Amino acid sequence: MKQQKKAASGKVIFRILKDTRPIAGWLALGAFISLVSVALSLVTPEILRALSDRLYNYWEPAHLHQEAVLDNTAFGLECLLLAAAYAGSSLAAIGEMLIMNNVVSKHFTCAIRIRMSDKIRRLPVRYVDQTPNGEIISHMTDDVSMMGTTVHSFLETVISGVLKLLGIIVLVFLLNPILACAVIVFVPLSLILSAKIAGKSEKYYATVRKKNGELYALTEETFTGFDTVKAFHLESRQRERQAALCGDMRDAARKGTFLSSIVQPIVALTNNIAYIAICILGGVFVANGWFGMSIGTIVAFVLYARMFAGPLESIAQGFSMLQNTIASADRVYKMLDEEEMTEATEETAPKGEGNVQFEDVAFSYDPKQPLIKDLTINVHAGEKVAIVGPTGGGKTTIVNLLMRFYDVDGGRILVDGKDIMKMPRNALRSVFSMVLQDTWLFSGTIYDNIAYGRPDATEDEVHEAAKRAHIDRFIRSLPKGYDTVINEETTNISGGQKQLLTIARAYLANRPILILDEATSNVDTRTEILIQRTMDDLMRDRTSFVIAHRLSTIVDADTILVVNNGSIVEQGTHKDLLAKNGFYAEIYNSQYELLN
Amino acid sequence: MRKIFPFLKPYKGPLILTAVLCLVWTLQGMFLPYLMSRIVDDGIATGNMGVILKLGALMLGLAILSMLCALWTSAINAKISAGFSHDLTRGIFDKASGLGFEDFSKIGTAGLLTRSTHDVSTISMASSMFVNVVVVVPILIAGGVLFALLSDRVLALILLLATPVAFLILFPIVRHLDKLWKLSDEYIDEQNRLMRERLSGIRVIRAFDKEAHEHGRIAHATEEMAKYIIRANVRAGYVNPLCMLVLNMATVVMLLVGANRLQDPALMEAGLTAGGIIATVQYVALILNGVMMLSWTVVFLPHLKVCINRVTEVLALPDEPAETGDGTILGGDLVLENVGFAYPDSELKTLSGVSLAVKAGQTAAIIGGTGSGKSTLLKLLLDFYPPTEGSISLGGRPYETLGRGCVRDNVSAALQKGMVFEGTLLDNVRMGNPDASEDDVKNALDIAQMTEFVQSHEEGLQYRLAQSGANISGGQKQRISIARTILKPASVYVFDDSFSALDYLTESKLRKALNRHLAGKTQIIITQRAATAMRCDVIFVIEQGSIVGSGTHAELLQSCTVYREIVRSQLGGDAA
Repeated sequence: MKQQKKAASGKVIFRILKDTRPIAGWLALGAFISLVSVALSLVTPEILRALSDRLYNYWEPAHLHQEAVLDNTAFGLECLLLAAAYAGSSLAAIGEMLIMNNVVSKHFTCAIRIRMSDKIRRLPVRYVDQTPNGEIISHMTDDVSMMGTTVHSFLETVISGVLKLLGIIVLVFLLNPILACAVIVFVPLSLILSAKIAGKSEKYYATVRKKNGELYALTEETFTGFDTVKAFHLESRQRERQAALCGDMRDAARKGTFLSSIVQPIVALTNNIAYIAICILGGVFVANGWFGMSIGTIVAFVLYARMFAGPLESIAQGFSMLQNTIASADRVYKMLDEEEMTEATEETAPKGEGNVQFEDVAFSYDPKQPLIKDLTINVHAGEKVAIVGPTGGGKTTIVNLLMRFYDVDGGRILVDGKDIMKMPRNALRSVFSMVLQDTWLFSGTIYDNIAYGRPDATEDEVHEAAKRAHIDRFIRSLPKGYDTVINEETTNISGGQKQLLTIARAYLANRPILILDEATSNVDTRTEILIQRTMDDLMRDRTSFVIAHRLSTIVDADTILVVNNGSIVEQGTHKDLLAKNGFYAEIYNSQYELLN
Repeated sequence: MRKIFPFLKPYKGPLILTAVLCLVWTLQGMFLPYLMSRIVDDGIATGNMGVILKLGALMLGLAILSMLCALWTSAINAKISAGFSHDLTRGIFDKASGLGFEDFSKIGTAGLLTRSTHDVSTISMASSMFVNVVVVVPILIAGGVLFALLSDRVLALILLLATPVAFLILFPIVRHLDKLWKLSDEYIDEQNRLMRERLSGIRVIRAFDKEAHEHGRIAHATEEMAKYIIRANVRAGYVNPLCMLVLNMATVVMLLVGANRLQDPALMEAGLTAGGIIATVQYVALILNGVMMLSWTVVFLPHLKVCINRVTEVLALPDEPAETGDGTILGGDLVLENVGFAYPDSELKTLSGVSLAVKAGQTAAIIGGTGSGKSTLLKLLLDFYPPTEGSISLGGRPYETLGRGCVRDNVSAALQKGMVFEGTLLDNVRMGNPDASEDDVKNALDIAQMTEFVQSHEEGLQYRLAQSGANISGGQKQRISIARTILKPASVYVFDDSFSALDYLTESKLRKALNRHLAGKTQIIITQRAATAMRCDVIFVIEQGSIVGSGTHAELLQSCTVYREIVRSQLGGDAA
């Protein structure tokens, strides 16, 4: 099991590496520059050692009034060298940072995101229906960011970090093996300690995050349902719950904060112990003249000890990050590997007459719950088919199948005598216009929204469509008219007006078959009377499928399909169905109970 | 700010203690290099082993002491920050949940949500950060300069000058970061918004064969996003290398100046030593750390100020008196006399001259289109707002004499949205009457046509509803809300568009059961649907805030044009 997991992790890492191939050259350059930066930073303690020795060698005899000379030129030159090394190291770090930021963000993360967006074009509607939108978006932002950060820090941690560590170890051992041990023992010790504590505190932070989420949910429901809270005197109930959550959160936060804040002092103590050990041992060695050690060596040691912690920390961090990255990358690749829709190869398009036949169609969203069985409908060009039934009964399933948002499991659907499975989806869809209950408009101008289905339409045609949908006057009353931008913050356009815009869009698209799914549900009564005429116009000479709540609009339909619990329970004209005195009659009469 | 301070008051003692401990801890950090210089000067120079070991032991003792101080500080700080955050979060929630409607709508749902979550956590986080900066940074700078003075005045001066120089270099970089981060956040939101839009509109997009177009839009947004993220990251990336550069250059300058001054015999007589110079150079790193902390904090200030102002705005609102009534049930006669209403800060009258009377036991409908003022009327009935003109009375007693608590005890309303809370089904219905038995709850759910739902889940009444009822449909939410409403003992029951998501068949069954259960009680049904209204004893037609007709269905068909139009459009010509 574990081994399988390891193999899978290896595969994911290999795939990330493969995806970085286009930027391999830049990554190599970045690695080279960081190498230069490492080398320069390792040189500086050596120069400081020389400078300290010069100062000390001058001062020691001088303060005892003995003859002493400080070679100012050499000192100055060494200072200059030091300044140059420092400057070079900083510049290299900046150069590496610039390359990595630009290359990784532009050509790695951005490229993966675009690939994901491209992938969605070829995924079935079923995938989008079954996956929460938030999940797809979080793969595209958070997970890809995670991958980017890892690739970005790969050079810093693995390449420059390891090199730096090796360099320091070699240098300190060359300087003095005994002092070197002090550095190599104490510094990693502090890191192990801090990692252990951090792991413990993470447990509490997880609780804090969970409680915080619950707290947010509680606060949100209290304020969004403020009227209900007031009407039912629920203030104290909500307050008690909030107080309990706050209390839990405080306790966990306190423990978590404490544990994570003791990391620093503990690390500081171990670092200080290393510092003190270097001072004492070094002091003893120098004072006794052992190992030929000088004051400058102590200074160099102190500096190397400080440098030692940095790369160790980032390598440790890098490894824990790698785990998260593998999980993230796994999710991203899983989406990129999702099975795509297969497209018919025959280039047959429907003629556009408007004949539709369902032949023994069978379908279910979930194989365990068969939904539609043996559905047979024969719709001639120009006919009006109404689909009625209680909410949640599965009326939209028929639209899903007709538009091939979902594919039938058995039987076939023919448009103008051709099996829709055998034609490309876009060819099939090009004969349909749709107006749906949830009015979908994209963020853009009103003009572009109406022209969405026919970007080549002339301005007059767009205006005409708006007039037919009784929305032209309203649009012109807006300060920016047809150029008004619709977005999330748009508040001056009501739900009904948005629906009228989608009607205008369908009108303009002018296609032989029409689908109206509760198309006027958001429109107010007065407008609906006006719009009904347009709808009648729209349906004339066109095959139409109408899903309606209000039965008054569909009594004249050529065929009425009554859907309940996912299956067609009755089928016929208004008159036939009333005469049958079945489910349709029951629905119809419930509406007119008082009158009859 | 003045409203926030009281929340810090309980922590005054611990705050002072933590400052003192911080002082000890920071000074220790300064003391180590000083002691090292003494080892160099007194120990190594004279070859005195005893001094080296003694000073080393002192260093070790100090290091351990300072760690203990730091641990103690951590414990206190954790207590302060968790406690302060807890108090503030609760304080603002208690305040906000007790607001009256006038004040509530001044800030709004989204505003209150931001204030009681995001703003509060920002303030709590900042408060612990600020304590650190306010205490630690001055000590770091003052201590560093002070210790430097021990060895040389000029070196101390250089150190003192390095601080503002470092700040002047760092601050401009860091300052604009905030703006860049905000910008790149905006672009991330833009990409996500487009993606959400595309996913939710997938059917329309595919129907019009626009996938390529939508993909292009997202790809463009993603590229723009990358541009801004790069800009922000690059700027942030400058901070560390530049900071190191300033620090290192200060080191070089101090070495040069130090060497120069060491050659002045007078200064050496005064006590300038090689060890002193080497120690002083080490203070640069300590001080620069402080400067970095300071720059990050200063950047944060404007953002913090906004949060504090917003939270203060809520805390400064007046307290609403408690609104619980004594539970007396009044008679069900409801009378509105010439009621007019305009929302606070609005000149437009939402309602004007509304007069209507409903007798106990009657079922009345109020019908009208969106924006006609129906829902505002309900808000007045629940006494969320007092009417600006006219009066409302229940059971013969005017609202003003009853008090809000008593009014809400007597008016039970199912509101338009069909609000459900995170928790069990039982819990959600029982909100109407905490004393109700499980059988009462089952009965109420049965009337609301929810029995089938209850039976289809094995948990039954214990079925957990997700936040905002994400796991149930709109119609189910409405019906749960109806069950809650009828469970509450009251004299008037109001249903605001409560049947809109139900199909006619379900509505018909529900209404029949409702009439049986609420026999003798007053029912008010607010609706847009003629089929819903026409079965009521009396119908009031409301348009643009005024009653334009009242009577039975048959009467209104004769007398009221607006009503006739509504009926004709909804039920077809034959019904009218």
